[in-house]
Amino acid sequence: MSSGKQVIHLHIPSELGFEKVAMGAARSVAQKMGFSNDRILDLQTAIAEACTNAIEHGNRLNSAQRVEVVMTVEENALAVDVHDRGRDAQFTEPQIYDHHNHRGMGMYIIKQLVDEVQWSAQPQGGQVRMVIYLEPDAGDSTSPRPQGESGL
Amino acid sequence: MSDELQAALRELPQATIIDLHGDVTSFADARLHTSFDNASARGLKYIILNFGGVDYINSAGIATVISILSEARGRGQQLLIVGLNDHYRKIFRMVGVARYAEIFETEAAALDKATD
Repeated sequence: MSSGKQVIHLHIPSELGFEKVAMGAARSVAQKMGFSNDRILDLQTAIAEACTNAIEHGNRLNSAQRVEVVMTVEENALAVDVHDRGRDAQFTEPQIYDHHNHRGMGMYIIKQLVDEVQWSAQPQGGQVRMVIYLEPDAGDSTSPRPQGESGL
Repeated sequence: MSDELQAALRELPQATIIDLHGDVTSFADARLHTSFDNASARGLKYIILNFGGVDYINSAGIATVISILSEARGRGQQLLIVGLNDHYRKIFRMVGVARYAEIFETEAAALDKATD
């Protein structure tokens, strides 16, 4: 890929299943950037969870609203922003998930799989920003990607 | 867009195997529960969930698997899991499923367990 930032915008319907379009696009971009297959699978799962959250909980399955996925290709990293139009977005840090609340589990999974993640509630809706680095330790050393196992 | 889950039962002497094909998401909830209920009705201790035909699992699907795990334990039965690729095996371990259901790389290994 050419040097400098390149930005790819996707708009998917707020209908479960369309997260797979974002997964496919992310695979294509990450492959071009040279990510390993393991890292691409991690990214795809994180994007799927973020899009599913946006579709179900942000846009409340309202087919008139779209989820926007923005992929920014940087020299050594791929940043993915997922935006919804939910007006009452509230995010808490997913330290512990609740198996009866798969949204919490999804946020937990995202946090485990990407190098950086940030959730925010904007006036125009919710947003999650995920970043993976071509070299896994190239990100902020104060926020390492935890690898643990949690109980039910 | 979703690849609808198909579930088929194989009845073996030592276990009932549920062969899954398609996506394991919220759309699969009813089919997974029905398949589990049918397998459970045989009364054998071991039920094997075979994910060999599954390419996509999300947190809603994992929540359903956990729900079935809990039901199986309540009935005195055990679920064994096979057919996961390396990525989803990692995810299942990450969220704690592996503590409550043994995960095997092959169906033969799971059947060995069921024969014990």
